[in-house]
Amino acid sequence: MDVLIQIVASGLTLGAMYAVSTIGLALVYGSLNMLNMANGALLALGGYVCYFVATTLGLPAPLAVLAAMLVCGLAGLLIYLTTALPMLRSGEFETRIFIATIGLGSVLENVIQKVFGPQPLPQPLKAPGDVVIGAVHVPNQNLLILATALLLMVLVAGLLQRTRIGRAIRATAQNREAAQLMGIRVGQVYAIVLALSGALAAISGIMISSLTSLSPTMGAEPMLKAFIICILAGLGNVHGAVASALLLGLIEAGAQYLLGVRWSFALLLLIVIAVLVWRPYGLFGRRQVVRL
Amino acid sequence: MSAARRDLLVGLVLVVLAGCLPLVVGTRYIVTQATLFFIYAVVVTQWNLVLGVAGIFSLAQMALFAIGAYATAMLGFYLLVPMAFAMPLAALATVVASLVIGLACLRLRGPYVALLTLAIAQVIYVLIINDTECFTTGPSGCLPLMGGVREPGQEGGRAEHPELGAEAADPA
Repeated sequence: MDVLIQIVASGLTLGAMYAVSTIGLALVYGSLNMLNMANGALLALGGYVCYFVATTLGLPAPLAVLAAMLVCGLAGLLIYLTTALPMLRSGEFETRIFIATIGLGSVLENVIQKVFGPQPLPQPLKAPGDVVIGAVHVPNQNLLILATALLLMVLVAGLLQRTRIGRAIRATAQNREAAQLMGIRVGQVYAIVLALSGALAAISGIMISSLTSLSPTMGAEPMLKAFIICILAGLGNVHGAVASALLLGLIEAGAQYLLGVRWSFALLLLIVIAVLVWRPYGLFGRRQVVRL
Repeated sequence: MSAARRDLLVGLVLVVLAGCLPLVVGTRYIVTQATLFFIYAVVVTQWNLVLGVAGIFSLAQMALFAIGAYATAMLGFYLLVPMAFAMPLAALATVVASLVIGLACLRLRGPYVALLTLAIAQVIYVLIINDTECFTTGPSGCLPLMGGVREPGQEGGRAEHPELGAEAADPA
């Protein structure tokens, strides 16, 4: 029983961390048909900006998180203006932007390495103490991550469902031309979506680095997991992404306990390969994907 | 002269030039770099075939590269197959592996192909680098790519080739 509580607690924490960056990826793919391979570098950037503001400048933690969100949001905006916008009209946009963002991510990772050095750094944002359930100690840090992730999901869902800009995002995702004809500025929507996904990546990066440590390439594996989750959900499907993220987090924690840590990632990848072979449009995806 | 014959002639001249390289330059460094260049030229050619000609956005091509290299090494190490036979056999094994990957991709389109092949490449990468017991091929039976040490039987050739096990166990 205690083992089960432990697995569920760490599984939900993992799932929540993945869900935050997955939402960003799903939004970007849903509206632009763009796989943002620079997302891993944005995770690292968010973690490092938070570290810089909190440790080097010595400012309070909430300010550090806000600064990281701002910088990564701006980075997302820059990716749109410098890379996605010029390519948008070209044929084979999906392939080109995929390769271009791999390059962007690589540049960003190397700039981070140049500025902060390759050695792992500790993320200063830590919530000390833990909560005892039965015989299990659940760290406050995990609970904080879970709570933040849930809050963010509610906020993003609210943004998409209730606000004007959210409706514009959903309309663009459903049908770009029709949205344009209805007077939605599609370019503006794209810019906002990329900035939003940058800010979400920053938070996800801070969460992940607070449990492990900061390094320039820390984003690579979480990004791959986020893509796995996106595939499971069907690319561009935001609600499915959250469900898949929590499910995969639980599977990962279970596999780590039952099989050993080194099998967990391989198992996740094998699951996604099996799902893709079995259902080419993802678990929650429909053949004609109605996005968002 | 037809285009095909011209290409053949140019190719022949280049092969002769490459063959003369070790005679002309004195340092091993240049020869090693040139060898690496040709290895990656082969990689580029196969990727060009997949993406450039067939239009399949596959990211698993370097995994196939790894499968070929590991298959050659494992055939030589465990089954004592001579290098000249191990290489074509490994090529055959890699063809089978890439056929399986191709079959898995048949129903997918666009970005899903890229992500599926990325996942396959990562599985192979993760299985190889997580196999830490095999970094030092100790006296215990060890199967690279199969998840490290398997206790009983030592399947994989050690039992059939005790001299190999003795050699590895002997620090001298």
